[in-house]
Amino acid sequence: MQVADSWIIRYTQQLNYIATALVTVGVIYLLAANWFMFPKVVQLAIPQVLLFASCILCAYFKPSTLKGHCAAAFAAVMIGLSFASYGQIYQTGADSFQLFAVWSILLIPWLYFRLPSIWTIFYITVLLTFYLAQRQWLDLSSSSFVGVLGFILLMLIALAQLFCQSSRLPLIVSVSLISIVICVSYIEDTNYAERNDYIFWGWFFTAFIVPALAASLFYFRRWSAGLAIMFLTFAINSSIWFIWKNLYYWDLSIASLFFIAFVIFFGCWILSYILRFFLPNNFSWSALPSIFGAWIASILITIAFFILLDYEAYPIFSLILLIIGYGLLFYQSKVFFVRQISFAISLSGQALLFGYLFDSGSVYSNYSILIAQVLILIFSWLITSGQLWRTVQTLILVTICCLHFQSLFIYLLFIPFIVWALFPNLMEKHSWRRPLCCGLFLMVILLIIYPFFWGYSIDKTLVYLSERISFSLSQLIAFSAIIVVSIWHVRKLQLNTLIAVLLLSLLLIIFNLLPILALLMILIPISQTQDSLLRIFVMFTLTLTLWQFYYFLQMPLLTKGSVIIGSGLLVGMISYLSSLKLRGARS
Amino acid sequence: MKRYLPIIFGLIALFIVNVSVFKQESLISNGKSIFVKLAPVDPRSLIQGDYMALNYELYLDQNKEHDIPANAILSLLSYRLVVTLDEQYRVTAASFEQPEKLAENQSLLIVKRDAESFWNNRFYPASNSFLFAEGFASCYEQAKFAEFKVNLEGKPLLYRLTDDSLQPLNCEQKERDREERLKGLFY
Repeated sequence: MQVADSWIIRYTQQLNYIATALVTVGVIYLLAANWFMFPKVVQLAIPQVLLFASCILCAYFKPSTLKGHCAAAFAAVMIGLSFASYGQIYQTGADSFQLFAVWSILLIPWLYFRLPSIWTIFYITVLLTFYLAQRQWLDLSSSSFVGVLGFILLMLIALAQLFCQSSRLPLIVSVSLISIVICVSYIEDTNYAERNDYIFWGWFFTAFIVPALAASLFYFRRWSAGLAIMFLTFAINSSIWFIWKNLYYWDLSIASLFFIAFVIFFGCWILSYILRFFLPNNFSWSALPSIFGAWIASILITIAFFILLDYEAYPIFSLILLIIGYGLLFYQSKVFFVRQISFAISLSGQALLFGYLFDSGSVYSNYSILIAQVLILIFSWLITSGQLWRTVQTLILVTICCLHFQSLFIYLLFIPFIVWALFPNLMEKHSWRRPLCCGLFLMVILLIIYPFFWGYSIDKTLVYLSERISFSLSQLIAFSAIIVVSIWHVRKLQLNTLIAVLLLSLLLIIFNLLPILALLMILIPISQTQDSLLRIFVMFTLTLTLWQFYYFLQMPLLTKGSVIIGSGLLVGMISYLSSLKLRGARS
Repeated sequence: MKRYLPIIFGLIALFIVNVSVFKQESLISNGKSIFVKLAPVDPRSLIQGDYMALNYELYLDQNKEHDIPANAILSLLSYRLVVTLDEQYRVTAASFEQPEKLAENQSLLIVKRDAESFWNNRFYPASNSFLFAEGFASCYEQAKFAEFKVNLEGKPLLYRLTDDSLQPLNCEQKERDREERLKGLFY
């Protein structure tokens, strides 16, 4: 009875979320359908009334409470929406940077409440204002633009540090990405003749001085994550610059590749070593630059081996590298430097092996090295621990799977997941299950929703399936895997429920409603798991799939909105009936 | 007092929005109407409704680089054009040359360079698209002219689309009227 109770509670919660999401999406569709049918006054009034109402709610609940915070964030969005609606009605040809500039200015008083959501909106509007102003009005030289952007980023970091520390992390990650993108775009600029010292200094400031200054600020304020991320940014930008410098001036010889690999590895290791002085008690953050250095070095060493060796010699040398790498790892794992070297060597060995297995020798024409790297990361996943490391690996895995969807690689990836699904007790350590479970669901989700993101509506999917045998095979494997997992999860249910679920799945397959089947199957395991990361992944996918599904329905927005609201109300009713059943069982 | 700060901040934003609305409404009431002929239009469907890409006939050669005098350049992408109007206020000619005094049948019109266009010599006043409710594409396809309200400095506001005889299309209004008539029949 307890198991049944917990099932109903969890299902009721999930159904509530879905019902709310459906009704909200439906209302948005209805508004979108009717927006231009509203008189001008109503179009102008809607965001303004919402703005005023959220301000009153914010004052009533106080901004320091969760409800007040939500109301304030909503008001901040409504300020922008009020101006957007004004701009849409009165088409005067005003530049879009003016909208963001006014929005930023009007957000300044709200910063007083030190709410991270409002500060984050403020960062976005300020950066967008500057970017759009450059395109539409300022027309600064590329060097000045990059330099001023670096200065603005520094100012935002300083403001965040002084007034709203809880908004720092997304800002720092954005600063890091912007800095890296600027570094890459400078390198990619093929018009080398026009590069001069003047252009160089703008780029140099944003790519190197900004991370260095931000890092020093975080050191004095004792913020480990910010300090480590800035060191990592510095390491990435330095590596990009160093590779570019050498590839431009030198040939792509084996000696130069080994030299570059050594310098990058050693440079990143020194950065990590310095970081360990600043962060003596936070090893996982201080290791960031050296992990990056080892990864880049391993790629360069692998490329060098690809050039150096004959195709037939790959397995032997990969075995040698693996033995050296893992030998060092197991016997000298207490020394940080040795551990990183062994990591780089073992990565190279594995990359060489997978390059041999998956590619017929064309090193540059394919992503074989990257694929191999991902497989390596999966193996290293099993022998390392740490939330950050796993998350990064998951993201890389998903990216590469998107790139190489049609390859044999995908089927091999499923083997450990299917094994795990069939024999969950094989892996006794609970920590192993979590990343595997996340990986399994991500892979299945990708396989199922992939055609929908590339413009295949439900009616066209059948044609797509008949045209691409490999896709239907991957679908089959995906469904087999997910059904196996689902059966394992639903076995605690009563037999009649299980049969009902399977029959419904069969019907959905027959009618080719694959996303709906995916949703059903996803809902079953997530109602059992307590893993918040997995829940976030699945809810995100659920939203995307719903959006894609409704987007491709060929019907007017008005009908679409009504159907979605109807579905939401139906789900809400089921949720209500479930809760009634629960109450009845308890009484 | 501190408690009421969100309301004060909200009122400041509302004040600024509504001052801007008032300025545009006074331009609609007092501004001069000019009509620009539309080149073939392009109805498209988006998730938020429909919109029409507008291509104006400004009598400027899109295939050549214009020699724009300095006093006609307002900012990076904004220029001041002198347009010649017929007796129905339709634009019949345009030039970037700025005369010392405008003739009776001339008006200033601020235009923007379409930075996205391939030729980079396409100019448009106020907006190069017009949004409307879903399902009105066939009605708005009849548009032949765009009506702008302009002030003395030539700042335009895209007011509405009109047919060949310069009568506003008002497709949404016509639909509302039709619904009212239908209601009248049933009740």
